[in-house]
Amino acid sequence: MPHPRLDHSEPEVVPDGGQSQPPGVPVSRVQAGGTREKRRSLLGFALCLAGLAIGFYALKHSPAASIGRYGLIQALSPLYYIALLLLIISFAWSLRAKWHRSALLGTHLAFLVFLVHGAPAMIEAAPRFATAYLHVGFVGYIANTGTLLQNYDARFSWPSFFEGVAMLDKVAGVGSADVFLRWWPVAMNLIYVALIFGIANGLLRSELKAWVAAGLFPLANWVGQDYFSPQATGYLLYLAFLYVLIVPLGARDRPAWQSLFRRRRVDPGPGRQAQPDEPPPQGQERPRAVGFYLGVLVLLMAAMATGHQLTPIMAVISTIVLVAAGRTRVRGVAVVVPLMAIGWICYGAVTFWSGHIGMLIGGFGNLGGNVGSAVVQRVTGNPAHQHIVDIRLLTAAFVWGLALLGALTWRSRNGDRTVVLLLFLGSFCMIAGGNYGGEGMLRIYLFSLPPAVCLIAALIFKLPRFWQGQVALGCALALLTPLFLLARWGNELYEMARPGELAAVTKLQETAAPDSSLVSLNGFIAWKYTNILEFQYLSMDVQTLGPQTLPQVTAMVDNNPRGGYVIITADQTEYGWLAYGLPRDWGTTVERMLAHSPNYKLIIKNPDAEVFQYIPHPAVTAVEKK
Amino acid sequence: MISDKRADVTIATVAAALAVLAIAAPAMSIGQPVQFLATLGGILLGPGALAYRIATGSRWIECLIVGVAIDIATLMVLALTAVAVHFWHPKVELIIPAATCVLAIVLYRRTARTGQEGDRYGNC
Repeated sequence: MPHPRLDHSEPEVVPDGGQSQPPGVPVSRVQAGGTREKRRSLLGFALCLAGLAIGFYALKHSPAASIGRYGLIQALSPLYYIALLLLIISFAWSLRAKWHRSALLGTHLAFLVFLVHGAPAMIEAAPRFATAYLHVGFVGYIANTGTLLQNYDARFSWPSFFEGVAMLDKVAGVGSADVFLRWWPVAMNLIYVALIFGIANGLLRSELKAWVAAGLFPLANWVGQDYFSPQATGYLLYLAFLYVLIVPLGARDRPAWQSLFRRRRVDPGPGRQAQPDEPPPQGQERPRAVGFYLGVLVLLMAAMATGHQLTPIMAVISTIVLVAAGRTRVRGVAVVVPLMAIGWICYGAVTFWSGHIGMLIGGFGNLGGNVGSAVVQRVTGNPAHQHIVDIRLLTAAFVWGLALLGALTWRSRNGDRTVVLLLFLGSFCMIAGGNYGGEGMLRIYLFSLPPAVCLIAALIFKLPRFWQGQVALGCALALLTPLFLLARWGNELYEMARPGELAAVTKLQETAAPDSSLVSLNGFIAWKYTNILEFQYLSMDVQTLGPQTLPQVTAMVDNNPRGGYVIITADQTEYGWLAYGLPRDWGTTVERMLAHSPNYKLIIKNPDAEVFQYIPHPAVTAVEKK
Repeated sequence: MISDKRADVTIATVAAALAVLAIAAPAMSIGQPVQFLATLGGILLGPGALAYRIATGSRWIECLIVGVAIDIATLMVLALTAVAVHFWHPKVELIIPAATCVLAIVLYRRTARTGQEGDRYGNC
């Protein structure tokens, strides 16, 4: 690790009992100071343990049944907020600690991540999120067959994540990857925070600022891309890639734009001279290590390029920024990394883009359209849902606004600010490339977070007194907490998976004939986690309710001679209510329509789901189709 | 504070023990959840961290964190290759804990050699 110069305001770390003795200070005073420091840190540990215990108790006593239209926040016990507040205050206060500061602050962040990202895992009966269950199905298919379903889903064109988990599953002897679902976000965020700390330490050259940046990350990361998915793992690899480029392979060279315009200035080396007052970047004294780091970069990029569509593009952008800014020693990666990303798209993902080239590059350059689909079109549905979307936009604006303020006020030496700002702005380039199914803004926010939290940390340290920075950090985290809980878990009413739904899907898969049609009213249903090819899974998109609804449902199930089933779950009805603004009881209305039709027979019923079997009566079907 | 040498030996021992368990568990059908945890531990505390330590001499905390990313990337690329060449034998994954064992031995030997040199010059 490099040894970034500490700020003048940064308390000196005393690793071993605070026994370092400045010259001229009596031993008794040093010992008294050391004891005080030790007591301060021990109190910090006690506070964060108390926060964890209270938070754990609060989550255990938060009923899932109370989750409402504003999500998890309605179910959380008041004690939970006290626990978070305790952790936040203790974290900000512990920044002054000298005795085992890293362990103290690291423990705080680990507990914070556990409490905020693990809340649904503690409260809800089943692991959450429908898409994660779909990924379990993909993994299961590969584990059982050792092949891919190239034309089944675009994600099979970037399959290395699914293949890796499939291999792990087989060797571990678990029947399904669903064992990962519950605690995956917590595990991912713990590693993210550690890597964010390392990156911030490299960019800001201050351990204390890096702790502040790492402290902001768990509550600023509301986008929910950390579930069991290729993008969650891709983000982890991306952060590790960035870390290796910035820290071990870091440099303090002249930026390309300065070399271009000021060639006649004194230039003793080919643009590779370090600033005289800078410590040598790590690895410089170990030339053989550079080869290892390069190998690590290639390996990480290979996994990213074959695992997820978007992450390698962001890796390319960040690499180009760092090379151009002279902040990394290995300039060749600016060529190798794009080649790897393009190479996989051209050869590995050919099944995806052949015939769908419009999907791949159709949105390129359509900035207005991409922003519209990423922002404007998402602000729809029930007022509660619109409030959640508004809060998401507000949180993003808050974080980005603070970051920009940080960029304006931070006066760094050696162009550090420019590099962080360019990394921050670089993530916005993605919106020009496409809307990514309307999720473009979420991805931009996610990739802008590492530089954004660095800029906010720099802003906090612009305050003249250290205690003011601590108060500002505490206030920012306290403000981010409710925003995070609403933005991150605001859609929990339809994003959680209920045990009854999973039981109904499993029972349906046991009873339905192979190749029969399984129809849902919209896409929000946790299924396909087994037997993805054994049935035809069809999702309707019911956005309006009326006399046409029953004929639409019948048209979906009627075409399959092997039989058809309609499954209505609580997730689907809550999604229709919140996202499309349908009446609250629209699911019951559709159930009543099906129950009154002689073509449908109720075969499975529990509090969370109902399954109707389609048994056609030609005369009735003809009437219903009209 | 734990010394670098002691940390090397401790972490290499834990990694090697997990790797051996990860290799033995599928062969001996030890049962769940031990087999699952052993396999997962064999990957996460796999060769990435040890190789990083041996090659760069960085602090262990850095080696362990970047090592997790290296191990995950290795698993992904290995599985991708296995599917691409139609060689779907998931136990190929056991290369990863096997590599951990080899690297643990390398680290032990290096630590022992450094210790001997230190003894010789009286500065251990």
